[in-house]
Amino acid sequence: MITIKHLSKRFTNPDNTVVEVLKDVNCEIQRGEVISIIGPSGTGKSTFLRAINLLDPPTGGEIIFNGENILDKGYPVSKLRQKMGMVFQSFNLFDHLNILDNITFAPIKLRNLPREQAEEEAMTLLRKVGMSEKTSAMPSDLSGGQKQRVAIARCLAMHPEVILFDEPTSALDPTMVGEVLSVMRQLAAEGMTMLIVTHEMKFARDVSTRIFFMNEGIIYEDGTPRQVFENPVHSATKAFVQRIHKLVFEVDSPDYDMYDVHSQIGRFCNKYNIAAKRDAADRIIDIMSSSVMASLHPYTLRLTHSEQTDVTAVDYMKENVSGSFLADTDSQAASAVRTLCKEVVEERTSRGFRVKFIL
Amino acid sequence: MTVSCKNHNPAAGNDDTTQTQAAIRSEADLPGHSVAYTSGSVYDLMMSPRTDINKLCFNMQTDCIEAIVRGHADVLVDDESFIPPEEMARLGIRLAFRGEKDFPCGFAFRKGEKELCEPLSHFIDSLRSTGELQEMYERWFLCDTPSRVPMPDLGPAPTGKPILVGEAINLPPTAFPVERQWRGLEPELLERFAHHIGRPVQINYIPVGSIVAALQAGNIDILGGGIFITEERLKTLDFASSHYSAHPGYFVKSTDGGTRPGFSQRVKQMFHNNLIAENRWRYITDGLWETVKISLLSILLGSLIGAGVCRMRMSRRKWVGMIAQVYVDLMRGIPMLVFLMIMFYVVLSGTGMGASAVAVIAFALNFAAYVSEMFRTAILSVGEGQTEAGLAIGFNRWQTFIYIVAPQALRNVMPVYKGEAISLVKNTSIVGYIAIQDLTRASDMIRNRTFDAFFPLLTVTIIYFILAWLLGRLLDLTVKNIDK
Repeated sequence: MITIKHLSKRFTNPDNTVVEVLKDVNCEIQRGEVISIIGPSGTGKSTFLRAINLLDPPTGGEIIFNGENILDKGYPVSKLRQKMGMVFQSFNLFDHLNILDNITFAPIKLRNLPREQAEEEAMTLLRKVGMSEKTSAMPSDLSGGQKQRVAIARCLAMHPEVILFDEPTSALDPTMVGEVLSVMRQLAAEGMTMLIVTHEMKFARDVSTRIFFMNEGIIYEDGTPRQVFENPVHSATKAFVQRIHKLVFEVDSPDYDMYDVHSQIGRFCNKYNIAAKRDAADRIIDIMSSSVMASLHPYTLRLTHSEQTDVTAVDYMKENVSGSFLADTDSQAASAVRTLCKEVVEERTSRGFRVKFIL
Repeated sequence: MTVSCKNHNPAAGNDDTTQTQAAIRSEADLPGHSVAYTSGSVYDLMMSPRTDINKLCFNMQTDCIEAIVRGHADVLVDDESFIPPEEMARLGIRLAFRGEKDFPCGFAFRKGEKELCEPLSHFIDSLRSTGELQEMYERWFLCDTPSRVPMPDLGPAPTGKPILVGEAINLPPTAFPVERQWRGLEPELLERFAHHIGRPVQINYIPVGSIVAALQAGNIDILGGGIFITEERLKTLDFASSHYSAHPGYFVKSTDGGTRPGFSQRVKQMFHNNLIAENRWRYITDGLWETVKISLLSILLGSLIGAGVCRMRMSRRKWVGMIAQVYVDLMRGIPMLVFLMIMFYVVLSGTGMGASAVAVIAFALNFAAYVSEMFRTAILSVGEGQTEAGLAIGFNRWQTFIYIVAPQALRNVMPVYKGEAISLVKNTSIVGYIAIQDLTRASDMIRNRTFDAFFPLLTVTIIYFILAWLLGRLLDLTVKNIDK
């Protein structure tokens, strides 16, 4: 359906330095594929997506869509975009139109649909994304998740052959990510061809048929989710998918700001979609700091999460200690925290001793 | 409140007035007093070098009268004949003494103009030799109610290319319009001359401030209105043979007043005087139409030009944006009145374009500079995401702008745009400077005849207010319709 050959994109900065965001991108996309594009920030994922529908026209290469090179002079770009929907990070609903009009506007103007038919179609789509009650609301009345669902419906109203999702959940409050991802999951299940730039690793792994790992302006690794997440070929891919997110606190005295610690933990859990584990983490930390750790300052407290293995843990590390400190002072507290986690790992490290609670 | 009523107010300062009057009996008594006179007149030339008096120089003779009546000035110097005796009593003004020297008055021409200047000179000389000129002078000037003197019937007006005359005065007995027909000594003389040479004359009132510019730019052929022939002026202008001499008169407030009518009586009288008598309301309706026409056309044309300038300002080519920027800065830096005069007397003077058309162009160019910046900020305030969403769904650039960006920008710009449009309507009140009889000038015309400042000004104030309000409503409705 889409074949991309040697795609490149160069920007010239105001100070005349040239930045090559896309160097040499090659890929082949078949109808019905759901492709997640992952990778570190600043490696050209969004630029790649925006190059495909020519919002950021590439500086070199070829994009063959249904047999035609869309970079040829005179290729009807607007017609192309009608067949290639796009969902933006910042939703970009038409602010001056209500929800129903947002969806019917393009079909009426571009597909010359009679208003009644356009509205009928719009209602079907709004029901599909769960927004049929809000037809006369204005975009500013909606939450981020609702806006994004409407934006997806607006996209579908043009009957696109493929939809490009440019970080569709990155601007959302974590509590709203789920509703948007479910809509996308449903679309994928219906066989829509989708290209998704995302940081939602779990979603990418569960829903995609293929993963593009982008790094340094090229598709570094291309494969099924299982290949890319579990047996990555390149070390950079491995480092990216196996990277462990950490939240570290150096606790020097009993007077540390415990409210700040809890709020940071809340944010961390939201960011990596592990809100369900927040409560256990909070309680373990509360019990530990008032009992076992109360006299062990200074120590290091960490919250870690691996997206690849989906393992989250709270751990305590005390330097210059050679044995476990968990049950030394308060065995009652120690047993209480054991019930809050799946497993407790105690290990000697090069500098001291660590107690780790796997959540 | 009319000026005549004000005169009888037992307000503070009445004693002063009496003392002042007592003191002024000749030109020797002037030092230390406030003297009112009209700008550009021979009295301006006489008084402006003096340092021993307090000078009050006004644009219109009516304003001088107002100054005397209200007690801002002690003495008013102008032609002896300039306030008809019937009005003097009503206003509570009296002639204190006469000037010693007379001033010959004549019609002025561009320097070197021959085609009309010499024939008119000969014509005036022949009228003088037959005694007809003296007869005319006596009929208009030595009469108590010159405003009721009829124009002689000279038969049907000749046809052909009209001679354009600018009258710097509209007061009896020299020249004054009654129901759109000019009367007075000079109009009669000019009518006779028109029949003599077989070309029609067309008279327009031109305020004193812009008479010389009008003449030199060729907007008028002959300048009338009791223009004094002075050494100074002979250097830059040619004059036809003098057709009368003006006697300077020094006016002061009189102590004895008439009876003061009741309030309702006064309002009724003002209403009748300023609007009903001689169908003076037609000045208002004609002026209103002129103001509305100039305002609306300027707003339309200015918005179009403004959109173009805005487009240039936002151009990707730097030099195009620079041109627009220079234009905007330039227009914002020139006072509107100066710009209007430059356009009329210099830039467009040779094009034969009517004054109203010039005004529309000048106001549109000025309006464009201001609204182009408003349009630009309004467009920029619509997020880039809106354009991207439009493009991504399959609209081309133009459709995206028209369907998505413009409606939002328009809503953003409307509050300031409305203010600018209303401000333009009010600014059109300066078009009188290029001899357009707009709403403000209409009030001047009426004030000149009735010597009443309050009523005509109040009338046009109310009309301007209603006009501004209606325009605001109109623009609000436009936006509502766009939203649909």
